[in-house]
Amino acid sequence: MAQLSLRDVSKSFGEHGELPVLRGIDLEVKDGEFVCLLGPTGAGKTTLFRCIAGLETVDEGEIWLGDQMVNELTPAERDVAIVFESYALYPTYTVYENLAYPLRERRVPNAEIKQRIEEVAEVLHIEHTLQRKPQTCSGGEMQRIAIGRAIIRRPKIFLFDEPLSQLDAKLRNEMRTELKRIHRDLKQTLVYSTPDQLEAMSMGERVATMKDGRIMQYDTPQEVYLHPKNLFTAQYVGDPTMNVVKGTVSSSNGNVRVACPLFTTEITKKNTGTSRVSPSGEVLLGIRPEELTLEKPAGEAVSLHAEVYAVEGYGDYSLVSLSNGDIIWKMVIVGDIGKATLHSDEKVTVYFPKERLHVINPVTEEVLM
Amino acid sequence: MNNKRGGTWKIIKPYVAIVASFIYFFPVLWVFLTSFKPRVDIVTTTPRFVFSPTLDHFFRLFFRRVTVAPGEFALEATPFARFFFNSIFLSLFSVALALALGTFAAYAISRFPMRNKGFLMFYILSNRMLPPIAVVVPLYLMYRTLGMMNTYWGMTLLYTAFSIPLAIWMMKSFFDDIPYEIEEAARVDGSSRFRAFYKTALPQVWVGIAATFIISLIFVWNEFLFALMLTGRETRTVPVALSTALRGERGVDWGLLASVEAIYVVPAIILAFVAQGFLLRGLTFGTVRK
Repeated sequence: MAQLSLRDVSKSFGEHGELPVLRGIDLEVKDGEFVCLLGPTGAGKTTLFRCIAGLETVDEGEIWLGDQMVNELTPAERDVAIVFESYALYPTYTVYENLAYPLRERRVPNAEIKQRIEEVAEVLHIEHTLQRKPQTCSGGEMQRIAIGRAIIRRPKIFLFDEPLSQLDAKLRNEMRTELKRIHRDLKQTLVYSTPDQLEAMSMGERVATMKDGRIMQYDTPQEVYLHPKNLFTAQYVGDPTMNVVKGTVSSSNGNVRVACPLFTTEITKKNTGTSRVSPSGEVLLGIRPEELTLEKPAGEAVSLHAEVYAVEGYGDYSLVSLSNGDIIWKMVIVGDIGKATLHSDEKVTVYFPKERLHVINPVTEEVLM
Repeated sequence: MNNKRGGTWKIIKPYVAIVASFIYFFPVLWVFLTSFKPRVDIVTTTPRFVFSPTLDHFFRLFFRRVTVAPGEFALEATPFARFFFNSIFLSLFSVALALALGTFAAYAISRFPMRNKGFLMFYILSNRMLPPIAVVVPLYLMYRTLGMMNTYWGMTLLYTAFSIPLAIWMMKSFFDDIPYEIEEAARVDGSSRFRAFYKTALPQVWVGIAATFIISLIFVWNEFLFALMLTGRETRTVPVALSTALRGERGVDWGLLASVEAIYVVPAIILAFVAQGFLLRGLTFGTVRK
């Protein structure tokens, strides 16, 4: 059990370090916390994990586990457990020996190994696989064996590198629940990487969005969703993706006037970030598809007119594409009423709550308000 | 139409295979038969398949009669047992050594970043590109000067060096084929680099080791030129002995020749049969998988 802190960690690949992969990562993970690293392929999540585990050396920065700086320690000395995306089970050993491996390397007596394997196998429901070779097990079983091999030696910290990406959708949902439960039982520090925002949002106590070797935002899932700090986070979190349109802002008698081809509105916010808007006043305006409604919501709302471009029904909800000129926005309507009532080319008026509008600087991609 | 043609071919195929393998194996079969034939049945102009078998040639291969006193004979061992021992010892020992060194080298080349890896691999292979005839004269001079002629260690060294390139190339392809992540998992689980290598990587390439061992063994087992130039009476191997020792005053002793060959090819054939699964996987590993 330990907290993890990364201080300005950088890493480049290539003979002359010409391929930067991590660019000054700062991250604090509290003892017992479940943190998700969320980002697309190539963001540096796996490299970051490899650095934490000691499989790669860092070029700059410090990695602390508990009160120890571990930069110079070998992987074996760090006492970190990784669950690899490919599981990396030992194909020549039985499942039992796979689970025993980390304990044997630490010279744990046989009797204790047996007892711990029984415990872990029971928790993960893999008792029936113990005498088999891992490659004869199903994907879900291999996944649980890999987790078992990590938890059996009670390491300081767990690193889960996209552990569910090889599973089919149904199994992934089940394993998500399982993992949450395992973490609740173990109460151990766990860092989990995934390209799937749904996984990150549903599992992490805190979520760190990553892009191009940088942490873009590190906060609770609610904050990341409601108050993204930058365009990347705003668009990566949430499905379907946030609608974004080009617009302008201008000040008029203390209020901020926001205009775009779809709508114009005035905002009175205490924390206006207009000082950081470029002189021309160009901005990007973002609104989540879930915030758009056909009925006028309570409180201050903005309305806009559009034509229905297409309706896709998903059973429990419908995804409506709205068009206005060459701008196409998505809108989510929960329940199947939407599909039944809306038709292509129909003209509609939709609304969204004013406080849910995000104003983004198009150059720095920073969310201003 | 297509279906029918496929059907006919399916029926013909095994017969074609039988005919082809008969063509290939007939010489071997003939050698075997000859080794059991009495002299009169060997030298006839019409080939004979039916004869009363004899072990005389095998006996003569290992023992000869010497006259100790008029009318009294004693049996004396011929040096052939020794030649067989030489062949077995040199090939087993040098191939084992080459495989041990080659496996480590292959692992290092496969797993660690290094500059000019491609050139290094080419350089290693280029050892095998030179025709042996090109190096045999310098080697002869070198061996003579250094006193390595007709020594076991000299021949072991030579055959080890001869086998290493193949061992490295084959083993590297095997290591390349197994995921590095498994060894990394082992290191995270508490193993040193070396323990990760021999506890997780090595068990995965047993097939490769077996295949490399057999292929290298057959190469050394058959090697003739270097053995001819660099061995002497004590270290002579069977292929050389075969070519030099059997030409008696009365022409070629076919029976004796056949018996040597029969003994000599048996281990190779058995090995190839036992290991054909390995060999097939070994030779196609890395090319067809994935």
